[in-house]
Amino acid sequence: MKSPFSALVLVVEDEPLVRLDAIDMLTGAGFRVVDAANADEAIAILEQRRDIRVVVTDIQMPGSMDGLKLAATIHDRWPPIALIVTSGQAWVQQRDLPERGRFLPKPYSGPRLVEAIQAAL
Amino acid sequence: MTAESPGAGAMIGQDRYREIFDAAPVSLWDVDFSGVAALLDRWRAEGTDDLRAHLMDHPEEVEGAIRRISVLDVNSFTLDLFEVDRNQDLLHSLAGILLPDTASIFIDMLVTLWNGLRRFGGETRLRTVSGREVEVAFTLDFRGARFERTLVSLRDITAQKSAERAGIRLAALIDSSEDAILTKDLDSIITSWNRGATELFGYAAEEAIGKPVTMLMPAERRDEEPAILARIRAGERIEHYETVRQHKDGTLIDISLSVSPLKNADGTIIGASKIARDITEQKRAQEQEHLLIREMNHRIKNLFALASSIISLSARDAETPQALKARATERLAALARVHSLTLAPHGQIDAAAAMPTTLHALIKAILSPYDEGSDAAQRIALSGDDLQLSPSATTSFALLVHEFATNAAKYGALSNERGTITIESKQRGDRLIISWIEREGPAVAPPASSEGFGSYLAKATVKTLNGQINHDWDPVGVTVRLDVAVSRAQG
Repeated sequence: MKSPFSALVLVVEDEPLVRLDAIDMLTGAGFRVVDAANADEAIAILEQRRDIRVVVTDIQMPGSMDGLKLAATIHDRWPPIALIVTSGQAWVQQRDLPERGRFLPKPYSGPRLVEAIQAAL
Repeated sequence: MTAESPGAGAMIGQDRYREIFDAAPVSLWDVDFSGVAALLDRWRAEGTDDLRAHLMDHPEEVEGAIRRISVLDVNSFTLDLFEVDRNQDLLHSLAGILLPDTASIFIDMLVTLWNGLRRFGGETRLRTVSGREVEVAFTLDFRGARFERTLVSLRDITAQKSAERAGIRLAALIDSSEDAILTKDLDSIITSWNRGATELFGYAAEEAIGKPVTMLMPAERRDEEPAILARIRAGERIEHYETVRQHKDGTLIDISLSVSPLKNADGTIIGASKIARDITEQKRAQEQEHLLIREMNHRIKNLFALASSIISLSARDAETPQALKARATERLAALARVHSLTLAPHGQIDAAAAMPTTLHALIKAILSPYDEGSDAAQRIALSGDDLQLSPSATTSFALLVHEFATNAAKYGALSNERGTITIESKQRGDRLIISWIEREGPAVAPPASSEGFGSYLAKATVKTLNGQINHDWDPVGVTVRLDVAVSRAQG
């Protein structure tokens, strides 16, 4: 089995800087990363690539669906993918997330993000 | 009374008449108006045509007429009513019980006599010898050829009048209230209905009175009525109960309701009065406020996430802690300048929380630190199409323009005394093309590495805005072309 650190992570975040920062943290930790600025882009990428193991998504995003809907959709269509949902809002509850989803409050540090992904894998 | 024959009255003696006269619970006066009859004769002899006009022009004639009235006797009730001890006091001070506004009634009375009528009545105010005002209903019955046996009766209606006025005031108060005020009986039938109730519920008084009060309740709230009634029967008040009622047109109204038991004169509860106030607007404002607080919380959290990203990304191309501090601080300051553009003017906060910013306002705010030099205004030119930016695009643009400006200040057109920057924005359908053209600066060359914050940020931003960015490193000055989707820039 491959090291989890080489797993491919999809980061979905509309705020470019926060997205960049997340990409930076993950590549620094050895992950391979693809990114999307909204849920529609994320779905398009997921439909093309079969090797994504983890999706890290923000909740509040413009577009046809927010991060919670995206997580639910991924859980239905690609059940093996691990899900990390992040938000600045403190009131996201485990029951709002799909079964394998984890919540990570914002702002997060690199080690916290990496920890969350390792736990989800 | 046993006497039945017409002559029986004659059997009653003077003393008995006196007794009846004094015992009557009305003020009775035996008055001689013959002096007034003589005056009427004189006016006729003088050829007076319009007596009313004559008296209006000659108030002294009215006073003369009053002086000619001779009060022969009054009963005990009259002495009590006018607070006099002895008959004589009143007999000599008739003018003393009349008020200035009695004059017009006196004129009416004289005109009535002038016209040959023998009865006159009405309501007026008089005063007692001690000066207290009393309201009376009076009748004058002119008897005798010269009205020498005129019978005057007065009824004290002061209490009745004041109750009437209080009632009228209360009715006016209820009617002018913006609150809906209604009463119902113990069978929940509406018994009164003010204008506020018509305003609030849409039913006219005649549509509502006699109908069950449950017609104002949406179906799912009808079970409230038995509970309300039970508390009213127990004599309880219900205050500021927030509930929902239904307008005649079917719309639901948020109201605050106070219900009080209504008692009759014996204190028996006979129904309830209800005061309902429309709190739809208040509720809406409350929700707006919650929305605003949530939006503010959200923005604050986002700012923290953004600040945290700015610091960690700034660390990429900073060689020393001092350089990191300087860059991160400048970037945060640029964001703060743009953020103040999006603050709603004081007192005009709404749920949107953020005022939309335009592209040009944003560019001016970011470049304002470079605009302070003597000729700086001539060095930076901004023109073209302006458009509103969404809050998230605002942040991206602010940081991007800030990077362009700091690069210009370090290496480009703003690093010498002569350099110029021309910024043009053009909207073509869904595309927004922004050109940033530097000229007259030092000779420029492409940077050795494209891994810095600026180029990272540019790449990430154009991805979010579904666009592209091109740098043309012409030695006479750099030209940056930013081409993004308007729909993304506007959110």
